[in-house]
Amino acid sequence: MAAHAPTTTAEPPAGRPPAQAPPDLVRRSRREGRAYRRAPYVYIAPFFLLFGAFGLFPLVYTVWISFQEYRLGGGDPEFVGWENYTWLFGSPSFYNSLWKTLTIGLISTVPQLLMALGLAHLLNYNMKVRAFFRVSMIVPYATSLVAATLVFASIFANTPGGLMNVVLGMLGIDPINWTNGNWTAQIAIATIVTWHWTGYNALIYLAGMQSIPKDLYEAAAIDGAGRFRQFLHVTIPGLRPTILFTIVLSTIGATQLFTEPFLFGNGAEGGALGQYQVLTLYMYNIGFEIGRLGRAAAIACVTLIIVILLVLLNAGLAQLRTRDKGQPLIRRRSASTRKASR
Amino acid sequence: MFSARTRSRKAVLAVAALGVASLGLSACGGSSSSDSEPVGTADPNQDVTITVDSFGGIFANYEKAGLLDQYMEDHPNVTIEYSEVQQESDYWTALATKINSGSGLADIQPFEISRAALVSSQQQDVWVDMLQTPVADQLEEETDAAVGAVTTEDGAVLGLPTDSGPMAICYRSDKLEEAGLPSDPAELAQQITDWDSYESVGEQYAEATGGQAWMDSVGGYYRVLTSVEPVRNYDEEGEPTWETNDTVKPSFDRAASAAEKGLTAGLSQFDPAWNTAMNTGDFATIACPAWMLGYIKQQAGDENAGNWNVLPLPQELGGNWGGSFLAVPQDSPNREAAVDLAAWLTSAEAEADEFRQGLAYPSNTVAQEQTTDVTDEYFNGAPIGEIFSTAAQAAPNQPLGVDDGAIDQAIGDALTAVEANGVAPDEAWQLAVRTINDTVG
Repeated sequence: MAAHAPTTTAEPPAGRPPAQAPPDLVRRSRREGRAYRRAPYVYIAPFFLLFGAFGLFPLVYTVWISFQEYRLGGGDPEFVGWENYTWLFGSPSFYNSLWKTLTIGLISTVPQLLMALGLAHLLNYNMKVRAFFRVSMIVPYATSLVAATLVFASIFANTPGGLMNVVLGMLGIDPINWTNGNWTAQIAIATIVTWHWTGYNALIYLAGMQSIPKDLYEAAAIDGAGRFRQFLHVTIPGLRPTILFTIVLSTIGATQLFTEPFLFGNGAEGGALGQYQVLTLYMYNIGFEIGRLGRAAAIACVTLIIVILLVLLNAGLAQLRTRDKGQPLIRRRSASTRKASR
Repeated sequence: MFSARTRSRKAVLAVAALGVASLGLSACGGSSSSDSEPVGTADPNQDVTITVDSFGGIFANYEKAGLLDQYMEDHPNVTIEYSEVQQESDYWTALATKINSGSGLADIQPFEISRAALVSSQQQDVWVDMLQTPVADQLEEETDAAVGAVTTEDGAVLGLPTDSGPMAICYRSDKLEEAGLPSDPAELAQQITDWDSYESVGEQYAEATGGQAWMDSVGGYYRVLTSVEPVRNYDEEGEPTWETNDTVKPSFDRAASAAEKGLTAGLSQFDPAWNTAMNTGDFATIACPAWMLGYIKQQAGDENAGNWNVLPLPQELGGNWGGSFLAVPQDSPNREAAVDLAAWLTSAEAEADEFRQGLAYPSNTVAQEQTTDVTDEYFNGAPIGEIFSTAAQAAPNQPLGVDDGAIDQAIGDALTAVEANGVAPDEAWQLAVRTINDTVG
C-alpha cells in the first residue's frame, strides 16, 4: 500500500477487494499468509481447549487441593502445606495399597501378556475361519467391564454354591472363601483383568506380527527352524517395540485398576484387611467414603509420580535391551541363514 | 516466522492464564455463604415444580403411600418431580460434590442421620434453618434426639426428620420351631432376658440345627449392642471417646466373641448373599430397626410370609438405627414451596399414614402415639406399633460425631476380620485402633 501513489481512482470501499489493484493484492496475500500461518493453531485449538478444561485444569487443581485440608461436603479449603503428604507417608494403609497394586499388577499383567503373545502367534497362521477367531478375541474387551465384574463376583462367591467352588469341589478341593482370603481375592481380581485384556493385547501383537517381513520366516523355515523356534527368534525380536508398548499400557492400567476390585468387594475398603485395596481404591476410600479430599488429592499426585516413574523405568529397560540384543540378533540369524543355505 | 513464535508463546501464556484463572475461580466458588434469611409462606397461586433428589426409597415410599399425589391434589399449583438412587453412599458422594462445587442442588435433598453431624457442623450456610420458617412449630413434635442431631452450634435446625429406626430383633419363627425352641415371642422373651441368654439360646439353636447360624452378621449385632448405650463414638462435648468409653470396646468384645463362637453367619449386611439368606433362612435372628421389616419382606418374599416374627430387645432396652431428614437448600428458588411440602410429608398425619401402610416408621412422636395399634401380618401379626413406640421412647439420645462413619467402618472391618479371617479379637481391635487413628487423626 505504501509504495503506490494515489493517482486516478479513489480507494475502493473497505472489505470489497477491487479486481486489479496491486496494493490490495499485496494486502490480500499478506492477509492470506497470516490466515495460513494461523490455521494450524485454529485446527488444534479444540483439542487444547478441551484438554485445558478436562485435563490440565483438573491436574493443576488436584495438586492445589493436595496442599489443603478439604472435606467432602463441608467447609472451605484450608492451606496445610505438606501435611497431607506427611500423613500419607506415615500411613500403613498406603504401603499396603502400594504392595497390593504391585502384586495384583504382576499376577494379572504377566500371564496376560504371555497368553496374548501365544494367542497372537497362533492366530498369525493360515487357518480356516481365521477371521472368526480373530474377532472373537475382542469380545471380552467389548463386554461391559461392570457387567463382567459382577458375573465374576458371583463365580468367585464364597458360598459352596459359587461356580468356582463347585468346580473345585469336583476336583475334591474344599470351598474357598474367595473374597476374604489374601491371595485368593487377588487371584480372583487378576482373573477378571486377564480375561478382559488378553484378547485386546493379542490383537495388538497380531498387528505387530503382520509387519514382520515374511521372508524372515521363510528363511528361518528353510534353515530348519520349527514354529516354536521361529516364534522365539523371529517373532519376539521383531515385536520388541510392540511388546514395550503393551507393557507400558498394562503398567498404567495396573496402577489405575479400580472397577474390578471396587465391584468385587462392594466398596472401596478392599476387604476387611485391605486384601485387595489397591492405590485407586485407597484414594476413593479416603476421598469419598471418609471424605478427606485433600488427602485423596495427595494420593492422586503420588500415584501420578509413580506412574511416570514406572513408564520411564519400562522405557529405559526396553531401550537397554534393544541396544544390547535386539537388532544384532536378527542380523546374526539372517547371516547364519545365509551361511547355512550355501 | 517471528510472529508465529510470539504467537505460540502467547498461546502458552493464555493456557497458563486460563489454568490460573479457573483455579482462582474455583477457590472462591467454595466459600459462597448466603445469610440465612427467614423463609416466607408458599404462594398458593403460583405454579411451581419442586425437584427432589433422594435415596433409599424415601420418596418412592411417599409415592407408594399416595402422599405425593394427595399433596398435588390439595395444591394444584405444585408439581413434584423426584429422582432417587438406592445406595445412600452414592447419593451422599454426589450431594457432597454438588455442595463443594456450589451448584446443582434440587429443591429438597434428604440426608441420613449418620451425616447429620457433618451437616450441622459444616453446612450451616447451605440449608434453610427450619426454625426460620412458618413450619417451625412442627419440630416440637419430634424427639430431642432427632432435632438435636441437625441443630447447629448457633441453634439452627437444618432438616425435618422423616422417619426413625427403633430397634427390635426379628427372627425366623419356623426355624426356631424346627430347632425345638419357643417360636412365640412371649415365650421366647422368657428365655432371652439379656444379651448373655440371647447368645446361649443361640448356642442351643446351633446345636439343634447342626451348626446353623443364629445371627445374620457380626456387624448387625455390634450395631444393636451400641445403639442402646448412652454414648457411642463421641461424648456430649463432641470429643471422640470411642477408644476408652464403656460402649465401643465392650460391645466389640461381645460381638467378636459371638463371632468366634460361630453364632454369626459370616455375611456382610446389604451384600447380595445376605439378601439371599433372608429368603433361605441361613440365619435365625437379625437386629431389626423398624425399616428392616420392609427390607425383609422384599428379600424374603411372599413365600416366607408368616415365617418371621418380632421380639422386643431384652431388658426393655431401646435403641435407634437410622432415620433421615428433609433439607431445603437456601439457594433454592422454590424454597417456600419446598419447605411447605417437606413439612407436610413429615407431619404426624402423613407419617402415621405411611406407617399404617407398612412403610417407614414415624420420627414424629405424635404419629408414634397414634400408631401403637399397628400390627404386621407378614410377621405373624406382631404388634410392631407397640414394640417400636416402646423402643423409641427407651432409645438414648446419643451424641453424634463428624467421623462416626469412618470409625464404624474400621470397627466393622475388624469384626469381619475376626469372623472371616480368623484374626484374634485383640489383634483385630489393635488394627481398628490403628486404622481409625490413621484416617481420622
